[in-house]
Amino acid sequence: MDNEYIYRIAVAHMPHWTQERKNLLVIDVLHKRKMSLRDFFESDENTLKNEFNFEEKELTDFKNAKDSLPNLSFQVEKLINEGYKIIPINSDLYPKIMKENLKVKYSPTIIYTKGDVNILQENAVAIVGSRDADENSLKFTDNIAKKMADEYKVVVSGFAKGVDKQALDSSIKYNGNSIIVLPQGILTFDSGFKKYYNQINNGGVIVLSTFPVDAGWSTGLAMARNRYIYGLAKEIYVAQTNTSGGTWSGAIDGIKRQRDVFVYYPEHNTKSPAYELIKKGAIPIDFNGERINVEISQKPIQLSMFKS
Amino acid sequence: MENLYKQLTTYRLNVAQKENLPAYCIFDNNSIDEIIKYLPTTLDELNNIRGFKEQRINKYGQDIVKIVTEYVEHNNIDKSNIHIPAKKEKREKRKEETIDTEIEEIIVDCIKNFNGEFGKSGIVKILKGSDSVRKDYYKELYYKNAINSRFWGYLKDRTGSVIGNTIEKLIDENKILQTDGIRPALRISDVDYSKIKTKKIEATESIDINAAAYTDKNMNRDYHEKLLSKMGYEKFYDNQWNVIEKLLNNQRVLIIEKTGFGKSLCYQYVANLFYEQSKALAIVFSPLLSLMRDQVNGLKAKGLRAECITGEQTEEENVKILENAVNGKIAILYISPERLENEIWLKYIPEIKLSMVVIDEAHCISQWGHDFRPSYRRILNLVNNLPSKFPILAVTATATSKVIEDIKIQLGDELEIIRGSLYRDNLQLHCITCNNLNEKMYWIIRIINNLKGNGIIYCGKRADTVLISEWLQYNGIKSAYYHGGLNKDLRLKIEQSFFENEYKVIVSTNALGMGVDKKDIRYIIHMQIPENPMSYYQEIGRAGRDGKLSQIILLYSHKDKELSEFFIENCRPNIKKYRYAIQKIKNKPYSKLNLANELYLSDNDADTMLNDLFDQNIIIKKGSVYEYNPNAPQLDEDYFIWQKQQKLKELGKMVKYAEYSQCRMKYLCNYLEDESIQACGICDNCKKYKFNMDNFQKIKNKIDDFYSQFSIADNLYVNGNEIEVRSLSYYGDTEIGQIVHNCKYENAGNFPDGLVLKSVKIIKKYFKNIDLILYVPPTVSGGLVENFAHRIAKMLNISVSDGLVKTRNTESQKMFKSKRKKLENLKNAFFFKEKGEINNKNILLIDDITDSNATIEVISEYLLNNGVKTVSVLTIARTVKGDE
Ligand SMILES: Nc1ncnc2c1ncn2[C@@H]1O[C@H](COP(=O)(O)OP(=O)(O)O)[C@@H](O)[C@H]1O
Ligand SMILES: [Mg+2]
Ligand SMILES: [Zn+2]
Repeated sequence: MDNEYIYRIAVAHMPHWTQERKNLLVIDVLHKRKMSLRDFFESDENTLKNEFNFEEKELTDFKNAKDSLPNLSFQVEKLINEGYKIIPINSDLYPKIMKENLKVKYSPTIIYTKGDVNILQENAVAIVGSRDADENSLKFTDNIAKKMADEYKVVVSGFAKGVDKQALDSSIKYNGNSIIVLPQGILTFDSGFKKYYNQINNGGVIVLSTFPVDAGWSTGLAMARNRYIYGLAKEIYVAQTNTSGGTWSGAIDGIKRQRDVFVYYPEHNTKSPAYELIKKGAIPIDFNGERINVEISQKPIQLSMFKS
Repeated sequence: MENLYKQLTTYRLNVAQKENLPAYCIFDNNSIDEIIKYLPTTLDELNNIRGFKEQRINKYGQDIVKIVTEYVEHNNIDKSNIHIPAKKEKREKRKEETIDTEIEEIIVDCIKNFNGEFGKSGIVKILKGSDSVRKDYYKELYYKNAINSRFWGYLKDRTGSVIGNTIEKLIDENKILQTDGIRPALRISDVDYSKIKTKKIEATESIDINAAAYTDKNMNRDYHEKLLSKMGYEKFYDNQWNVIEKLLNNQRVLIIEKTGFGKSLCYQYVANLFYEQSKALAIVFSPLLSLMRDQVNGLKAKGLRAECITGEQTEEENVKILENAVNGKIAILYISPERLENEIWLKYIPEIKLSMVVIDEAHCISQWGHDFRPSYRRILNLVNNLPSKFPILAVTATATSKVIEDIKIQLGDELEIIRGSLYRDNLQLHCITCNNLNEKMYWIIRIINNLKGNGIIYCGKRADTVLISEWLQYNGIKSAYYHGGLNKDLRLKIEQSFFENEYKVIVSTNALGMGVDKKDIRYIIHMQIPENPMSYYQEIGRAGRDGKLSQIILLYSHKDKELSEFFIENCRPNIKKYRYAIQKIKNKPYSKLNLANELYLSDNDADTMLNDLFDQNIIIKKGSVYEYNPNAPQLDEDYFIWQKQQKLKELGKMVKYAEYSQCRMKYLCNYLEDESIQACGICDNCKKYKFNMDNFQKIKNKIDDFYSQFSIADNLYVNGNEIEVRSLSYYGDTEIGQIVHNCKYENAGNFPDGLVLKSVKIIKKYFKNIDLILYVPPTVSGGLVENFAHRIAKMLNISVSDGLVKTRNTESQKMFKSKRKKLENLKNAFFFKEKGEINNKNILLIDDITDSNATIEVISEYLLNNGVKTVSVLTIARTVKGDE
């Protein structure tokens, strides 16, 4: 059995390396050179410098990573034994949509999951919105989750308060499938695994994390995690947003990348952030997720925050 | 110049309206200033203008260059003395003016909090804006992250441009990234895990893990033998050196050498060398506690740094050892495979510098091995995931080609196999065919009386160890029994006495002896045939490590074969229960106890089932709780059938050994793929021995006497009172067991006089000062026990009472497989009316069969709570626990 998990993990969590650098390295080794990572890790310094263009600092990173390989074996053993899946970027189990959306530049080099991996290949939508969303937006989220369950689509959410949590709970309520994208390492989610034990084992929920398995929650990871929520989804449903923050920038990014971004636009209020999103190309929808028509005025707005 | 400025801003406004964006988003005033200053007329030149990167150049580049070119041409401007500095140059210059490295950390921290959310000006606003702005927009940061006065105070006297320029410096240094785009956002290069991850191996401290091997490529045997002398040995045996050489080369090695060869030295030497060179630690997985203790003590005595982690040590002791391991103070750490489950251990392992992994008794990792253990599967997973240039050693004395194949699959094709001949010229093999247990008991006495030195008798069942040990003692032979069910202190004590030859014989299950380095075991006798020749070779291999002639005797009866077949056939609970269990575990985690209760499983069956499910990757073990594996495969029921067939086949080969008529040593070695040997010349077949049963009748009489007084003791603790429970015999495959069964379930009438007589004998011998006899009232009806108790009382001339009654109907205890359920079934079910009759009395309680002691426990507790002084218990039979 050719097991490369430790090498994958070592590369995936190289400190200070950009996602792109890591992915390019993996592609270079596996696809261009048809090498195994196992063999690659045996490369000497000269090969790394001359053939792989490693810089001094990268050589140190690499050496440190290599030193920790036997220890990673113990971690991998634990993960396997406890029913987690380790999915490297070129695995068949890796969500294809993630690669399509995030490309080499931002796709995580490795993901860790627990739950039914088939869910990762289904059509998925992200339901996003503020942590302190109002009653109405939560009800809207519930409606969309139901619609998705009816259409056999998977709901991706981030396990934050507010819209995220509602999306998950509703998806479970309507027997839909969901992906929980963690803002932390997968081994630090014990209480969640307890809570969703049934759904995880009987299909319905898969938990996914891209971070080192024992990393605790942090704002930084929560921010980084947002990208992966959008990355896993074909369509994006915005339940409620401000004109800044993770929801907003993710939605804008989605529009820019020509993906369908739907925004709940209940009050026909041209001062609302939803209206701003619509002006930028989001598709307005109503309480039941049906498209609605909105007239857009042409006057450019000024966001004082960003005025130089 | 005014003209150009106007043109640029007009252009910008038009674009902004078209794109529905604020004008500054198209390009900002800084950019306009630079364009006017440097007049870029090509896209390359424009690229050096502040704010222009690929995206803006693509979108507006052509237009701007056109505007500027027209302007230059129109005004006839000579561009030759205008030098457009590269962006870097400009930044360099700016940096010198207004950067402040002291605030870098705060900036990075802030950007980290809003990773990817804001651009430069956004971040500057956050750091420089008024309190209310921050409060409004950045609640989270404001409240969560100690945005304490110190933080803000620090920034108070920095201007926005200082902060902005410092941010640019950080971008230059790649510490933060600026995303491309209309509204560029800042983010941390990648999430900086070094800050988040709690456990990190310090880069500066970590020496190459394989430093030992890399730096010391000295493969000179003389050189290493000199080092070896420090451990008290002169020379390596050839195969020891072969192994060591490969380990030093970071290879994976399997060594198959007979017991007593000196396999441990291979890894002990290498581990020690690695430790001296790089303070790295070798982990040795070893299946037996006694073995670990032994080796650790031996190594410590030589001044080597060895420790073991076991469940027998306290948590603090284990933690202390692990801390020492992290601090590079331990060279060899023995652990049992089960320890992989331990969370504490897992917490430390990432920080321990590792040199090598050793798997002792490696045949256990193969399902073909006779004592495959699920936890060895975890070792497989581990080994499977270790890096390739990392030394691994697997060690065994017994491996069939199938086992080797299995190990090879796991350790990879590069596995080096080193094997010696398994032929042991000092073991004299015999097999005596018997017709029943009595004949076996006869032979034991005859054999032992004729043998010098000390030895082991192996029994298949725990219960038999007690019986045989008592039988030996009855014959004046000093013996003790040993099995996994004894408590730790007792086991330790017996092991110790075993080493010091305090007993002539230890009667044991196969729990004793594997890997133990006792040199002078002179004989090994088996009371039943083991499951397969591999187990047998493994067990007899423990004799004669000193090379002196040792006797190996198998007492074989055809009935053994049937019994073993029965066990193999019935080793698992019903397959339907497996499916049911899986459904249950899918919905919620279970402990063994809970599962056993809900599925009416005995402790053993629950163990078997959970091990099987674990082995098939269907469930996960987390501490004492079992969870479903969300990616579980289907239950492989065929595997059970297949495995059963294999086991029967292997058993067949063992039977063949017993019935073999040619050299027995050659048979065993050939079975273990060692084809090298000729007939041994000393086994019973080579010597053509005949065994005749001289004086059988004399010993048979003694056996009868022995049985008439033999009883089994078991002590029970109720509310702090010790209660002695004596049984005349085991239930099951015994004469008395059969009688009890017939009377109780086959209407064979009252218990015969023989049992009354034996009971009286035993009561007289063990129980003094009994005031009153009580008996356990029957579940349904019938007066068997009542009758029995009255007859005993009469012969002993002690009064008996019928006053102990049931207050309600209870289910037959047989229905319940777990003790807890049994206790529940009986709760408050017993009553004694005339309390005065029992007050302050010494009571003897009589019952027919005891299984879990639950009934006895409940009644004793009731009696003791109602004024009784002491309780003793006599039962006719006791079921065999733990080894059925
Ligand atoms: N090279 C050697 N020279 C002398 N004695 C040795 C040598 N190697 C091992 N021994 C001794 O042989 C005995 C058996 O070693 P051990 O490793 O327990 O055997 P096994 O192969 O059964 O595991 C030990 O007492 C050990 O000290
Ligand atoms: Mg050994
Ligand atoms: Zn022979």
